[in-house]
Amino acid sequence: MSVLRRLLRRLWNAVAPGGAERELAREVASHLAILEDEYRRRGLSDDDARRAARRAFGAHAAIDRQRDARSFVWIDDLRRDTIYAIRTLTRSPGFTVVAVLTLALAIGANTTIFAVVDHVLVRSLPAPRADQLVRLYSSNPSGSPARHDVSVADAVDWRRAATSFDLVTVFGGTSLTMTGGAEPESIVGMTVGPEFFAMTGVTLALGHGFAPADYTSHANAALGPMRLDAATGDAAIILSDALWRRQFGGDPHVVGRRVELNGHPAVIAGVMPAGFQFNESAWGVADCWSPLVESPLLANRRGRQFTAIGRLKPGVGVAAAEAEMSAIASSLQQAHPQDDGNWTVRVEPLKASMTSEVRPTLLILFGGVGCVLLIACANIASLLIVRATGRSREVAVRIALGAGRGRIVRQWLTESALVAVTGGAAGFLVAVWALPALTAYAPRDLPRLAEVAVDARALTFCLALSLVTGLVCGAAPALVLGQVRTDALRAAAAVGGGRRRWLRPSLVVIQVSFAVMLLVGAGLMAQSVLAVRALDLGFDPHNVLSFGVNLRGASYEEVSATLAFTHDLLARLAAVPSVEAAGNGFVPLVGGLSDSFDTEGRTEAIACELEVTSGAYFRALRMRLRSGRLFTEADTHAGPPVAIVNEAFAHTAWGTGDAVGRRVRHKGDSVWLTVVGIIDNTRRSSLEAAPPPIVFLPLEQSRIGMATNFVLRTTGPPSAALTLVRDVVRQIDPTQAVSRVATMDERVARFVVPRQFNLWLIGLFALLAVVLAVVGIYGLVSELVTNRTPEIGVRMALGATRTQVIRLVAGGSVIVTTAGVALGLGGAAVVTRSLGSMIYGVTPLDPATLVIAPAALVLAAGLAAVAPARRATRVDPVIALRRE
Amino acid sequence: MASELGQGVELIQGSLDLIVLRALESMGPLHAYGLAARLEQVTEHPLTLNQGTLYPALVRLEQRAWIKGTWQLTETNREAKYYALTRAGARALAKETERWRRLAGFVERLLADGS
Repeated sequence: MSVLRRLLRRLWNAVAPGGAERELAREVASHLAILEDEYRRRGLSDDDARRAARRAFGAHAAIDRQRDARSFVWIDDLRRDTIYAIRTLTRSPGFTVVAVLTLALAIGANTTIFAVVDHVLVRSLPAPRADQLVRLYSSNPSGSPARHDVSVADAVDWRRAATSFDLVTVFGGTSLTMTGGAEPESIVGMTVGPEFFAMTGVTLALGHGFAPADYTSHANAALGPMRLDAATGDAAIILSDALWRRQFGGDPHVVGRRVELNGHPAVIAGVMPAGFQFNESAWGVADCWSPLVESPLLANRRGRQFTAIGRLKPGVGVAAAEAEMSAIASSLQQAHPQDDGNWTVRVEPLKASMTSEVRPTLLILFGGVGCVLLIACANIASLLIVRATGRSREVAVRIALGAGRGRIVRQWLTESALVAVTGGAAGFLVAVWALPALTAYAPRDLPRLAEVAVDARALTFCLALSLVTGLVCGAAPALVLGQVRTDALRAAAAVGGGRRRWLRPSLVVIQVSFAVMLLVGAGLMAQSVLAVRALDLGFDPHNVLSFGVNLRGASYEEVSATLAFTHDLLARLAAVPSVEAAGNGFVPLVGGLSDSFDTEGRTEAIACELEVTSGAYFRALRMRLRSGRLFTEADTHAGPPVAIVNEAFAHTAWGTGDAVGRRVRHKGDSVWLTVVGIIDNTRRSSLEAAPPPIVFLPLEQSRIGMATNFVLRTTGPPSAALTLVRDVVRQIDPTQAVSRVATMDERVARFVVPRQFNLWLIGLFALLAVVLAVVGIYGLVSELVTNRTPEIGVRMALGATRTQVIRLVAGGSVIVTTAGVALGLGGAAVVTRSLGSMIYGVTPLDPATLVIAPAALVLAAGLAAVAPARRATRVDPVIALRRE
Repeated sequence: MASELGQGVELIQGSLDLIVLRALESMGPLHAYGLAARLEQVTEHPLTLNQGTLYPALVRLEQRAWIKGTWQLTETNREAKYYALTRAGARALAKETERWRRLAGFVERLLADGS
């Protein structure tokens, strides 16, 4: 038998001692039988023979020693400790259930957040050598933001000059109207260069993808952002899996089929695999991909609307690449001073740049949930200490009988590890259940949200966390037990009078301080949500539907055709009884068009947003007119040129809101427009950004063909009006599609939901923390009362009042709570500073929060101490003294 | 517990394995009871050998694959586990015997010198 086999046999015997044990029992039985035979032969009766045989055989106890020879002692100990722990734990089901449930919640919550953090922040992107991918930004030190998209012309020059990358790819977003499928649909397209496929490593589910000629074809160029006309030949597109199923019913022979994109013929070149998305653009989730034709874009070096991604050569670092790019950028500055004046290049690891917005939030949530686990650990440790103190007599007996201290500590650690692992297993189930709920309510803009799942890594994390938790929790009672002495066995010895009395109060202090920190965080976030909700939007979002119609095709190349369509649509919609008002213009909270205007009496132009609209737009959004009038039907080319400005513009231009009658003009234009009305400020690009200055021009006087966005105020629920809108659009032109549909309430919610989500989570964590801390305080006071009942009896017999008794009992908890609150506030002052954009409209050291949060905790702690304290005052001195 | 010489012999640590191996070599396969009876027989002084010492030795030897146990029937028609010496056991016995003789000779010389 080889050493290995012997080892395996021993291991097997340790894990499952049954087989060898049975074998031994059989052998012993046979031995006894033979002995009995022997004694019977010598003339003893059956009974005497059996007794004599047993005597001669000796004690059965010796079998234990054989077991030692058979297996590894420590595994055997572990097995016995586990059985012992299961027995003691089932003997106190109350403790066990509370401990396991606490840990299940805490570990489950941690595993859930871990799964999100792991998938969003830690894991590599699904692409070959993904960790070498970097995003390239144009950066203009004089302006904000620091990171801009890039122009194709710049990117092509970078690719030509740089040696740090083995590929540089550029892609852009576009919106297309597709006809030829089930019905006309406005879809998001991504125009990509050939390197895109090498970079993502994607393999098409169907088709061969684009041919080299597709990247130079005129037809494909026509689909790009430049919108060339007079294209000839077919364009090429690759469908997303979702679009393929939606419009073509998942037809396996779809490749080669012809559709129309913006009225141009296009051939389907392939279908992407299900779930494929790479770096969602500002346009949203891509429905299709089309070849990016670079040549017509090279002329426009200022068209910084493309995403550039590079893959570093092996061994090249981000810093080295950035250094090289700076050199290239400065040579471009010299070559193109007009366009690239002071533009530099910024290089960021792709994953970090994708997650830079959510990283702080996720880490803070992770920290918060970690606090909950620490508090839970402190609670379990505290409970275990009580158990350890209660069982110190048992431990003393075992030490007196020769058990080693290491052995006893090991056995306690087994017990706490068992609790923790059971809690962890339950926690994993909690995570499995909680994660879908979490991702369902998580803000949509969380990158890679679809990938998040509870998987083997989460399971490993959960298991590791459980074991660490078990050790940490078990360490506290081990400390207490480490000093149990056998004098505990003397009859009058006080039970539980260990020297480590500071341990439990310190644990409660830690609990209280973490609970205070979480409460303060939750308080600040609650105030932020209230602040965001209370923001004056400048318009009324209820009962408003917003949508867009991208007019595409040869018949809309003239601005007049676009205008005619807009008029027709608005007139037909306004005629419907359930429609209060229908107007065209940029949808608030989505964005606008930047422009600049000269004002009378000022030399420099004012940067502002431009809006070309009609009076119905203001009525549909219920924007408030400060003074003057809205646009009317009379504001046509026949009438005098007019404009409306908002308050922000009026104040910037003239320092007063009273500006009716003053004049503005398009920067560099010769025609002056008279301001006829002042409108209240409205939130434009986001809920929280300050309202920008805006100039409104009447649709009828404008020579600018605007992108066609609409707002519709309805008398009933706005989403019900969508069918109506679709019908009307179809009546006017059946080849056009309705897109960008959302109610204004939904658009507002997109800004509020992430805050609410964070608040709910941190609030939940804070609630858990407070409950656990309160349980901790209750346990502490309660134990104190039990231990000091005789003393309380003596005091009462000597004439102590109820107040004095309560002070004696509750005094400790007041000190503990106060210390915890003080520590917690200190911690909160440090931590809340890093909350950054998670709080809005409130300072991190908000006095109200810093008073209310600890006050709530002190109140809860007080309530927790009341019950045991009342018990103390009801102590009957006679009974208490008799117990002594 | 300890006995004076002449009344009983306390086994020296490690000697039991050798004794068992030797008994199995000379007697052929034996069960535990037979082994115990045999050991009591051959020693001039009755050997204080209880089953609590014998069984661990058997388990230990079987684990080292020096002996091998098989279930058979005794002449009285009882089932019993018969232990037999394996080839590895025979080799080990030779080596252990040699080692024991050297040790015994050394102890003997030491005792002779001292007297």
